[in-house]
This record gives sequence, C-alpha cells and structure tokens, in this order.
Amino acid sequence: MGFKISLALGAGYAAIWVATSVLSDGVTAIYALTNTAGDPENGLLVLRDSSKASCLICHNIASLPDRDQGRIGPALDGVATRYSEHDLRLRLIDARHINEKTVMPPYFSTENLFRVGQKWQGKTIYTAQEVEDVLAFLMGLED
Amino acid sequence: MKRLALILIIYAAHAQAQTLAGSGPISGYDFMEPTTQQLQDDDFINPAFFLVDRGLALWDQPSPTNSKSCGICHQDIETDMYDVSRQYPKYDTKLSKFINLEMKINSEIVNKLDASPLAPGSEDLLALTSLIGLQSRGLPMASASNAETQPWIERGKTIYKTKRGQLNLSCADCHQDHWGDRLRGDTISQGQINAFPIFRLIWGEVGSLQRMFSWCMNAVRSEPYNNDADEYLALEAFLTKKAQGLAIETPGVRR
Repeated sequence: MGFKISLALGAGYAAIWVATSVLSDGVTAIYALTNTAGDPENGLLVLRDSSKASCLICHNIASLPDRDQGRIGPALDGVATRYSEHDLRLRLIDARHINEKTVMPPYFSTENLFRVGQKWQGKTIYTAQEVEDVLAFLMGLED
Repeated sequence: MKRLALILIIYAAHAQAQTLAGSGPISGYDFMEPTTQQLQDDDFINPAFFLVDRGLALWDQPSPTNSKSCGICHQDIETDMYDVSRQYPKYDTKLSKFINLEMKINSEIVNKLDASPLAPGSEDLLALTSLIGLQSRGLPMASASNAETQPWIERGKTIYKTKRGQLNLSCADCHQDHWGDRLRGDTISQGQINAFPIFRLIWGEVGSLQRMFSWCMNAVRSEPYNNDADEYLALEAFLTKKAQGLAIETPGVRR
C-alpha cells in the first residue's frame, strides 16, 4: 500500500503536499506535514477533544488526570520510547499502512474510505498542524 | 399461566445452554447503569410506555375511509399479538416480500384499513411497533433459517463488517471485537437489538431500530441510509440472528 507523493487536504486548510517515499523494505517514510514545529500544548488539547474523535476516546495515558479514558487501543505511556517520531507520524496519518484491518481511524487521509458522510467528505479528521501538534505531545511520553 | 410457564421453560433451557457454552448474546441492558435499568424495570416509570398508551388508542381508532380499526379484527391484543413481533423480519408469502414488523403494520393499514401508510420513524408507527413488540416481551429472539431469510442475513453480515465513514469503522469493529471495552466513559455493548423500539436518554424520546443504525453511522461520520432502505432491513435480519435466544425487552430504555 505504498503511497508516493499524494495531495492531501487538511480540514479547512489549504492543500498541502505530503512528501513521502517508499523505502527499500516497503515501509513508507513520511516527513513533517508542516513547516511549523508541533506544539505539544495544543497537541494535548487536541488529544483530549472528543469532538475531534481523539486519542483518549480509545487510549489511556496514566500521567493525565482525565477521567474516563478509553481502553480499546494500547496505553500511550512511554509511546515515544517504543516508537520513532517517524513511525508514530505514520500511525497517526493512516495506521492502515501498518495493519490494514486496524480499528484506528486514519487521521490524515481521505483515501480508500466508504460512504463518508456529506459533512466530512474530502476532509481529514485532523489538520496537518494538528497531526504535528499531537505528535509533539506524544514524543514527550517517554518511559 | 400457561404462557408464563412456556416463557420460563424456554428461558431456563436457554440460560442453561448459555452457561454450558460459556458465552452467548448479552443484552444492552447489562451494560447500563443501575439507574437506567430501573427505568426499564418498572412499566409505570418506563417513559416508553407513553408510546404504548398511544398505540392502544391507535389500535381502536377507526379508519377515516372504511371505519375499520386494528381492534375490530384483533380484539384481544395480548392474545392475538402474542409472539407476533418475534416472527419478524420474515418472508411474507402473501406480499412475496421480505419484510419487518413496521412494513407488516403498514401493509395492514393500507390493505385492511384502506388508509395511508405511516411514515418510517413516525411516532404513530413507533407506537404500534412498541405495542405489538411488548406482546413478545420475555420470549427469546428467534431467526428463521429458511431459504428466503438466509440471503438477507448474509447481506446484513457483509454490511455489519464493512468499514465505513471518515473514522473507517465497521459495526463489528466495536460491537463484535471490542464489546466490554471502555470507550471514554462508556462500556461498548454488543449492539443487540432485543429491546427496540427504545427510549434513549440522549434522545429524550423513543426511537426505532433504524434511527439507532443511522445514529451509529453518523457517529463514525458515515452517510446513513434511509429508514426503509434494504441495507437496514438486511442489518435487522443479521442482528436478529445474532441476538437469537436473548429475551425480548421491548420497549427498552437505553443510555
């Protein structure tokens, strides 16, 4: 499922180019989606925001005081120790690149989706900057 | 009394089979907070019973065209409608069509009362569905395994397993593979359909099975189907099969 250079449309944002390349082992490399470095503080706001179909609905982060965190995906504590920034970005953008049957929504993809509701057609769940912001927060979660 | 005995026998046998198998369908009731369960437990406080009362009034309301009513032919609802809703969805030989209870009610209204069919999802249709559904309460959900039903079940299974919407989730992703897990503050249920129509607290009113389907599809940011779409009828057929054996709770109360 290697994607090369593809045009992605961040919700409410201008179209941006997602620069990717397929490495020799078939793993797709994805570089930062924006020129603005990710803001971990905003990342935390996004990650908590249920209206953005966000992380805490399914994942747990023990270091956060938030009640009612989800328990569907793995806990995100120490996630930066387990994964590289590159691999985490890939999972955020579209975890189907790692596991085609994943239950994790693709946060920055509009491809290969079925019957997307009118309101959401052509839009990604996160904007490019939101991906980078959430990523910046997650990269702070070391063991 | 005979009826109660029958229910008890069917239920005891079923409960035993479940215990032996170690698994079986679990009602959404078991995933509710005790306060929500209490609302369903008492018919006098169950808010869905306002609609059952409305159904009773409609039952005896004469048709404007031929003055007939449901009650003229089916005088004793408890006896005449006993075990009726449990038969649906099914292939109706007279109509040569696979139909659910709502479609059967409407065909009776059109053909026997010479009146206009009730709109899918309308309060009157919900009222009659609740009233008739109540007469099967306590009986185990059943699914016909005949040649006419099977293709609908298969189609429903495909729909159930198809990932959809911006969130790319299928019904199965949550209700088959992750029931019992925490989604924020809620525990995901098995999505069983044994209590419809239901009074849903977040709706503040009674809603149909089809409304619930559409609600779920919106939740995964997918385009819902129309209430009377074949896709929903197929899902209903599959989910009826999935709920087989589970006691009917109509009209239920859910979060």
